[in-house]
Amino acid sequence: MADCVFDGDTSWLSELETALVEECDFGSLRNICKGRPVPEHLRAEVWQICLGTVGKDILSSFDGLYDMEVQGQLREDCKKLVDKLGNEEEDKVSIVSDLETIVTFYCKSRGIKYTANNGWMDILQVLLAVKMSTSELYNCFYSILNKFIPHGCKKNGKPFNLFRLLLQYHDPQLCSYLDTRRVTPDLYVMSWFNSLFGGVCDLHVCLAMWDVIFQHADPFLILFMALVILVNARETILDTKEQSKEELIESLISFPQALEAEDIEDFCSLAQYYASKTPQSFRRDYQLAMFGSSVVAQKEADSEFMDSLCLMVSGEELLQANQNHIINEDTVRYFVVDCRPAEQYNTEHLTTAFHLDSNLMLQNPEEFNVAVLALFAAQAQAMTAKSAAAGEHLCFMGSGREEEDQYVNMVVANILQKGKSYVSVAKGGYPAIHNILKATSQNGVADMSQVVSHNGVDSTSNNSGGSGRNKGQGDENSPIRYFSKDLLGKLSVAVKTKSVEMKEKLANYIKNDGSTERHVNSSERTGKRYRNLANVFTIGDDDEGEEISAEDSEEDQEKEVVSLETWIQKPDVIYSCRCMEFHRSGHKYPSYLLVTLSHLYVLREIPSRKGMAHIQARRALGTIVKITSKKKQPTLITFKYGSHEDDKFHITDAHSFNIPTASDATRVIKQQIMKVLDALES
Amino acid sequence: MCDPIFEYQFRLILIGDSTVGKSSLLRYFTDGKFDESCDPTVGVDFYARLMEVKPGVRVKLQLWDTAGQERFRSITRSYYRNSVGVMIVYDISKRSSFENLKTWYEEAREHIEPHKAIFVILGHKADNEEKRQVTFREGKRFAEMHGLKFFETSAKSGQNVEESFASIAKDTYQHLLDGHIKIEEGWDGVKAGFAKPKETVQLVEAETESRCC
Repeated sequence: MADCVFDGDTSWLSELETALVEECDFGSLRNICKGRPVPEHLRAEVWQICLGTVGKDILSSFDGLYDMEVQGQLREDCKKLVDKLGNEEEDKVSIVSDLETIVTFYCKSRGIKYTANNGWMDILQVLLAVKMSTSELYNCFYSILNKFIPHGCKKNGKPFNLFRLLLQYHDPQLCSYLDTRRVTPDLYVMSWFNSLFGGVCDLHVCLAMWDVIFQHADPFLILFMALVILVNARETILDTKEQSKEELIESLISFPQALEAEDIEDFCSLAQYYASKTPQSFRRDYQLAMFGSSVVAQKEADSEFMDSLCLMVSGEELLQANQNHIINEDTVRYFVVDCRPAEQYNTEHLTTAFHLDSNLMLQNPEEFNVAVLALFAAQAQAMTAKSAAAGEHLCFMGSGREEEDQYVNMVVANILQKGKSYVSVAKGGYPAIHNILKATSQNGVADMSQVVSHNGVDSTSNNSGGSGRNKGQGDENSPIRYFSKDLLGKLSVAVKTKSVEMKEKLANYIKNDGSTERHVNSSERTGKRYRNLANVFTIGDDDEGEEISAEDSEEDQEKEVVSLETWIQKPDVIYSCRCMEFHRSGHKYPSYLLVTLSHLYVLREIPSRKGMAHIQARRALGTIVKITSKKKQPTLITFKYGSHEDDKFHITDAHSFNIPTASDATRVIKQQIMKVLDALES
Repeated sequence: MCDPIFEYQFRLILIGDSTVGKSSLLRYFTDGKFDESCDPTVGVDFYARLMEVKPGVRVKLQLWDTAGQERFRSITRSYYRNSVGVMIVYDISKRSSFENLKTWYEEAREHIEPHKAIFVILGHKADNEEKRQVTFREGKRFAEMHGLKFFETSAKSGQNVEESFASIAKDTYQHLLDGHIKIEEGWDGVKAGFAKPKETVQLVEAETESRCC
């Protein structure tokens, strides 16, 4: 018999037999079998344990009515299948009847319609080769369809889109070749997937393959098996330029036939190897749509599904993968490419991220190409140096906003077209990462070691030119060591939240901090005067009814007229945002807030002159003594100016704005004020 | 490095069914090259070329090549909003690509609003006369029905490639002069050329304004 090839150590077989007699569970079975094909006489029992169908009798509740619309077609197909088996004539009738019962009951209980060539007959054919009762057969059939056959096996269906993405991830050249030939995966993997290879592989090969598949209990494994088959035959496939599309499809479909029983173990470990070299986030994204049991849930998953350019990596996976400092050969490690605009990158980014401004591709394609080369070089260098940033897998990160991410997609598409393998995109962009880190730091186990959060003072951040460069690769002198010591730095990261609720929590936090002032004061590291003034940096509620005085003195003076764009792009501007200035008179003025290293500027748009603005105010950052926000409307920010005297401050003036990006703006401004005060101090 | 001087930058987007030849058309227009076999576009690609819209006035055309395949639709849709010109391409030797024109036109219009854009219809692969499935008149009629310009083009022979791009560039420029289209903050369809000294750009703008009055 060719069904199992047992060489070497066979002691596990008797162990398995004993275990089966003792009615072991799936876990211990797996421990014994270790993903190996099992002998024929034990197969029925092993499968039932793996599929979780032991001791169930569901078929007995069948009403015995064979009255489906497609009953005739079904009976025909069952007969055809049984004719192929070559049993004795008298046995045939009962087998046909059993098969028809199984399929009819399945259709009725699941409310599904039978269609010819949907792979079921192929599955049943494999199952018939294993000695089981009809009831057991039904249970296995049900469980296989439920657990291992992906939903949506149709043109443009999810399983095929996912398969294409996996192929592109591992072998972009092959994927591109098939794309060019217009051979979409549904044309060849359909029959592999819907029968679990039962329709294409030799029966004995298939039995051994199912042994492994069921033991792994990973429904996605068949995608990687299909991937191995393709990659294995890549030379043959790439050499089919002369063949017609139909011939190519036909030869693709037939590839699994070449598999032999001896290959199965190697074949399956290869499939697992590919699975381990793939970002895992796709599992969560596709699980419901491909293997979810509820039809409603499937539909939901269907509708909210967005097709992507390449595989997506969740923030969790990304952070976790790069957290392990020991480089494990078997896990995916990412080289993160941060494609956000320079100012966003400078505000906060992962220590290991390489910056490649996607706008550069539009503005200066030559320079962009140089930057991409630098990227590949930096990646290679990081891998040789085994630095924390090292990773074979490129993960591109945007800002999570469609408006900006369309340029990130463009960069990713460009890299993909270059034939680069292992290309993925960070799902949700940087905000996803930020939110995770924020959540963990809220829990008091802040692990900010992966983030650089600061403003534009230190030398590394002045890259508004946008040329790609790698930062923080040197583990020892990574800037994060310095910043993570800074409590306020940490807090400010946490402040950056869009949720009002979080902000309120934080306000309380900071207030508490204020009440424990003495404690803070006594600690060694806060010898500086301004740190005592906890409420300088309060984001809390404005005292209700407090007067907002405006900038009268400057109101009368003749104002300088400047071009907005020029000013925003000035090299010393570290942050800018749109806002609405609230004047004491009740007027509102659309304005821009600009933060430089030393000053806060308010540019008021000139309605009659597009793109031009008056410089409405210019305030030294050191004179800002208080920043407050309205509890009910957190985007309403008031800056109070004045001077410190004897640990009190005299407010001489104030300015109110509605800033849509209030949390970002205040964070940057606060950090900058700290710098200025630090500088004044020393 | 110094950017060539141009007055404005127009962003154009090419849409249409998969395999109608959008990338070939763009490659011919920007590179002067025709390649018989070409890989399908992954998501989106980008090209650029300078063009004279009247003597002495040059504009930079940013050309966005989108994948026609359905599975990239959610990605390509995001590029409509920031386009001032849309070229809808079909293949004269593939009837279905012509029949989908209306869907493409409607999708583009829906996503571009409230901004205005110039549309052009291109019947591509015009060299492929023996396999023609859509007549010139049919293409022309569709365009006229929607008040659009129409060209039959070929990246193999170069027929009408230059002309069609020149037409959309000039029409966009004219709309800009007439004030139907304006440079707007937060919209990348039209941008002032930023390589020039600012004063000159403002001068040009002032000129156009006075002409309008």
